[in-house]
Amino acid sequence: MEFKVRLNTQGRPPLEATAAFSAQSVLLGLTGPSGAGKTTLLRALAGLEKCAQVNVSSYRRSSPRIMMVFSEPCLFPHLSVEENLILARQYSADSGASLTTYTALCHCEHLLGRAAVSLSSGEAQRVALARALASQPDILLIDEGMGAIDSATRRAIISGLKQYATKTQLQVVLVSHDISDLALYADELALLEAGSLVCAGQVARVLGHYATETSLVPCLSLLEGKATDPDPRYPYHRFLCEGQVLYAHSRASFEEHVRLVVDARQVSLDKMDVNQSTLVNAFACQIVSMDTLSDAELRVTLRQGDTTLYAIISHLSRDRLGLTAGDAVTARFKLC
Amino acid sequence: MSGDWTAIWLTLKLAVISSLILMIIATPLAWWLAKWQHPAKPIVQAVIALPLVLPPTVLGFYLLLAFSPQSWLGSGWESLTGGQLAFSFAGLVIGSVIYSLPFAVQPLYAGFVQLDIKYLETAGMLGLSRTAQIRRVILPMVKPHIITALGLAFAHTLGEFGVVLMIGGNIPGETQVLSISLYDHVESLNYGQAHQLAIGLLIFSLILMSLLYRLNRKGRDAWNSRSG
Repeated sequence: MEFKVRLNTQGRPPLEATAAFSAQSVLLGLTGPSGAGKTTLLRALAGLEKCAQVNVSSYRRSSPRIMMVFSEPCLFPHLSVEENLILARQYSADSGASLTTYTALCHCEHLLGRAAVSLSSGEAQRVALARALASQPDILLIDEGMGAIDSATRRAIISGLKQYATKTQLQVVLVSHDISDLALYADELALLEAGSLVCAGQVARVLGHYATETSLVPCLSLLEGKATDPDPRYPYHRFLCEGQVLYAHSRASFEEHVRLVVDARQVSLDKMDVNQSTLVNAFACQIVSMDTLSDAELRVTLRQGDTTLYAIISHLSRDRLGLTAGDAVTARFKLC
Repeated sequence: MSGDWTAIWLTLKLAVISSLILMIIATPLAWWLAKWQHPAKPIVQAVIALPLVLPPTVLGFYLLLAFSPQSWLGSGWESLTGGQLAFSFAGLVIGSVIYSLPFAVQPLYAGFVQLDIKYLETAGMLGLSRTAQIRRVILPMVKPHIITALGLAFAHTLGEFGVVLMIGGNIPGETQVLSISLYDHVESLNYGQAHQLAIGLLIFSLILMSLLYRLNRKGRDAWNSRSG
């Protein structure tokens, strides 16, 4: 998917964004602080901002069918859940398609007979997503449309959506202010600040930009790698990152590939070789640089091979351990 | 008594025709008004709302002037149909439509203003054409407001007196509506017959309004309830 959006209307901050995402990337995460223009960008892409100059193409076709899911579910209140879905299907390319794929994906089969107005907000968001899928778009834009869904279900839905999108060549743009959710699932990330895309591309690179070039929190790093044989006694994924075994919780994985998103505040550093900590994950790496964040804290940039990891520690810890750039250390963090 | 039946029939005919015409005029007018943003909007709203506050005789007086064969409306009508507009049933219909316009426009306006644009944007993205959006989304979503508008316009026309007296006079079978007929009976001290008409109109109006509120309460409950 490629797009170019320009919007300059009076009384609103201008928006200018150009991006190109690879055909293999089915799930694109868009994040940024409140008021950065995320919703406006999606609305412009969906053709809802009349004053915007918009150019969007998908790898499926040059003038793609675009569907946007608002943060409010906007289910038609006079229809039942099923009727909402049927209405969407009726105007789609394949009006004979079965609805089960979409309802199963969005965990809302059991809601079909309900009146749209009787749903809780989390249920309504799931149905809104199913309805959007039933309209069979080429590009699906989701604007914080899953905020009311509990996190376990949300992650299951995102995971299922990613599989479905891969199979059908659908591209999904998921907007969330929660970058950790996006980092775990998105194929590519984009960061919007004050109406312009300041960084877009590989998740690790955008996370790096987010951590070092902006004042935004949290400071996150991405560790990923190929899954190895799991230990049958525990429900965790074992994977190899830069040749080292790490553990991740099962929800954060896709088939052979496992991802772990680590908050820099959850990382501790030591110079011991033997793990005597309850922190499961130990990652041997080297200190690249140390940047003072405040008079209390500093951010340590660690690297091993192509993987970058951040840790936020106190000046006191640095002085006690006598850490300097170039030191070999072990970074420890919980499995999550 | 047969005169009373004629009056009742005439009143119902007037109310039905007027409220149907009103719905046809008021629905697009209310939609346009809900979308229209202009410094002159309050003036247009005030003009539509005038019949709510003006004595019906004031409205009737100006309508009478407009209907007279000397005015462009009255003379135009006369050259078109051969009859005069004042003291005719057609004149009554025009008067009723103007008199009851705010009762039809205001509930519809409220409905359209409350209708979140995102529903229409969603419908548009789903691929519904403009007419499909009106038929399958807009009208069903503002249905409670349509019922209110129709009910109020009908009931209000039913009880009209001042305007009719000014522009229609008291011609049995043509302009003598129920309220005028009732007034006639009282004038000629015919209290028994007056009472029959009065109680009939009272009960009918009560039933109509109760039905309206009942329908609307149902509508409102369906919008807000979380029970499934």
